[in-house]
Amino acid sequence: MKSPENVLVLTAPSELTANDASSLRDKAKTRFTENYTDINLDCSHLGFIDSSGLGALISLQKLAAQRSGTLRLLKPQSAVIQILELTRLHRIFEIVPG
Amino acid sequence: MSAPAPFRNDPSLITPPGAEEGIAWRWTGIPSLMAVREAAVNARKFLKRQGLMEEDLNAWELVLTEAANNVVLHMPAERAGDSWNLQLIVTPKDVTATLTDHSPGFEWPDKVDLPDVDSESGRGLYIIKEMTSSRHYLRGPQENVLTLVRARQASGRITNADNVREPRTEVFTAEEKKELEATLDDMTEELGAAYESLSAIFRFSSESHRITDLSDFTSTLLHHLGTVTQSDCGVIRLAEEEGTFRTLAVMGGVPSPDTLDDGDFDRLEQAAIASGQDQWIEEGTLPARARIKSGLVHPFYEGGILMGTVSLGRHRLTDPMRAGDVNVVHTFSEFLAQHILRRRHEEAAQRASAVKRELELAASIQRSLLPRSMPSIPGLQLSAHCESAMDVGGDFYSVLPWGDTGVFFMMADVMGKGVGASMMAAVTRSVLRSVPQLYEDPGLVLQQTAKFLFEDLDRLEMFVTAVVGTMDLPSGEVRVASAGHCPVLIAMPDGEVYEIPACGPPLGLMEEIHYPSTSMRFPAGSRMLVFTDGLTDPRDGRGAFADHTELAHWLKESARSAGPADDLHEALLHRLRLNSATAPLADDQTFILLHRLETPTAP
Repeated sequence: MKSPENVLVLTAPSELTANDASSLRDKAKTRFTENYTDINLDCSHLGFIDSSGLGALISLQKLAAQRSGTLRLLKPQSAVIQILELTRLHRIFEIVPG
Repeated sequence: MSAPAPFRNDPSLITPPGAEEGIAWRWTGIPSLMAVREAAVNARKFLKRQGLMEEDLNAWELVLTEAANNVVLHMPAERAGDSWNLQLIVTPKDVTATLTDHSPGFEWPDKVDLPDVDSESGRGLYIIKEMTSSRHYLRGPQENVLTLVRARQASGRITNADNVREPRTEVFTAEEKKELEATLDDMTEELGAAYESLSAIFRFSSESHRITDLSDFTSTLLHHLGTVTQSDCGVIRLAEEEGTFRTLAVMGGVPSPDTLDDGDFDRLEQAAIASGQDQWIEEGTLPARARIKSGLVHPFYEGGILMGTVSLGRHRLTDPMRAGDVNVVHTFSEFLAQHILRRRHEEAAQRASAVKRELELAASIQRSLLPRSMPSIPGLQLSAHCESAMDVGGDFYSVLPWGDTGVFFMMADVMGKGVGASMMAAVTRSVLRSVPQLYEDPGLVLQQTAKFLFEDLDRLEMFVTAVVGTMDLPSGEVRVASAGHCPVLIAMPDGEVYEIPACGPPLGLMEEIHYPSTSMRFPAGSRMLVFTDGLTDPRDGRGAFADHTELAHWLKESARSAGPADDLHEALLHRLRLNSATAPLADDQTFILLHRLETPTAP
């Protein structure tokens, strides 16, 4: 695990849908300043995610990848992991279980 | 997003025609994303009241959100006030959702696939397809109707909606108990899997301390990894210099580049390395004879440097590996990478320490070869110096009393550095010292030494330059013989400098060879300089002296300006250090200075 000063820590809302996807995307873009390479997204409260929410996660992953970093999904609930597995996206994100 | 949307919710339950056993629920809303969420959440609540399993509830919440989002996103702005309807019909076997809207609609593709992994959209229809049993989309001029059916999980059963809408009591209904038990079963299974992974890691960690061979270590790791991830075969390959790979461990024969000769595995491995991402094996990814139905190729890195690949395959399971399995693969790979790095550091440290020990040994051998003191001969001023380049070298010298009034001197330079050169110097010194009966004729000493050493030097492909000689005070004569060594310089009292050159090739080139001795007068006030080529011939950069001629010139000037009892030792050292101060010595620097004093010193 890289040192914490490289890691932007964000908290996912309880729902990540077409409603709130752009809000998370914008928040990440604003706060992902030059000193960061990685993003840790705390998913412990995330109970529901739809395809737009998955799109937001991919945009976060791209932000990190531009700086050779990684997006880590921390403690996602099993329902969220199932969606990631269904859409094969668990191959792309680093999933850190709770 | 706007303020709370004005929903027109019709909570009354209706029974549609032809669905005697079904319970229906309807929703009408405006086309906004917030309305979609409200509809999905309320639909979930309704379905939960009908006793659907958690998995069904999750699926419907997502499917309805995706389907209704599509409606909203396809709705032109001028028709933002148009309503859309959702109807759910629950039967004991399945749930049917009917979504009616007045948007222009869209073409439902014949084949619904996942988009590229880095695409930020285009997964909605795939999710709907994967989570429903059947789908019908009717696109009409006035309205579009999407009908979705999903079979219910086996343990779910329709209930009397009115009953479960009663205030909750402490007593669980039979259905709720079943649901709870199912949830508990799921949790137990998940915990079990996690525990299995953890205990495998711990088991492996404790075993790994006892394994010293990297290949054994990796095999054990692969075996454990295979057990945890239910894989039947696997291979771990280590990235080596110049982009080559070494197979460290194989389990179950395949996937291995050796058994898949058509390069399919290589292609996967290359793709994993090129993208830095896991490559997934599905049915059809590899040729049928590989019998691999699912698996993955994981490239692992340490500090951004590719360390190797871990590949696993399953013969029986067609499902892709789950997130838990992938985590275990990643964790084990990190562990292996750390282990390999630690091993490399240890090996480097061992090598460095071996080299250091060798250098220390060589230096100690060389120190033992040098005389601790000079013989004390009345009328003769003697001094010597030996400084090794790079800790050790092959130079040595000796000055031995010869009779009561003379000395026998020797100097040699073994070609090469390190312990080998030091050992050979020791041998040469012993041989030279073993023939004192021959000292009277230095040429004979060299001849005999050449004969003794030839076999060893020839085998080791080494050679030694050596100069030996005598100086006898009463006769005032020096006799010198040189085997390929630098000339001996003699400065006469009048300042004239003579060179005595080599009279034959270095030792080790010929077994039988005659070295003629050269004799010279060495009157009082004369000085002699015996040296090795480190003074004039460094391997790179400029030496203290460009050549013998410059050294001879220095000797001439120094001898002329020095007092009759002055020692040139310090002056020569000073000159040598002037030139070597900025750079380390390129070659050993060794010299002997002999000065026959004008007036014999009292003993």
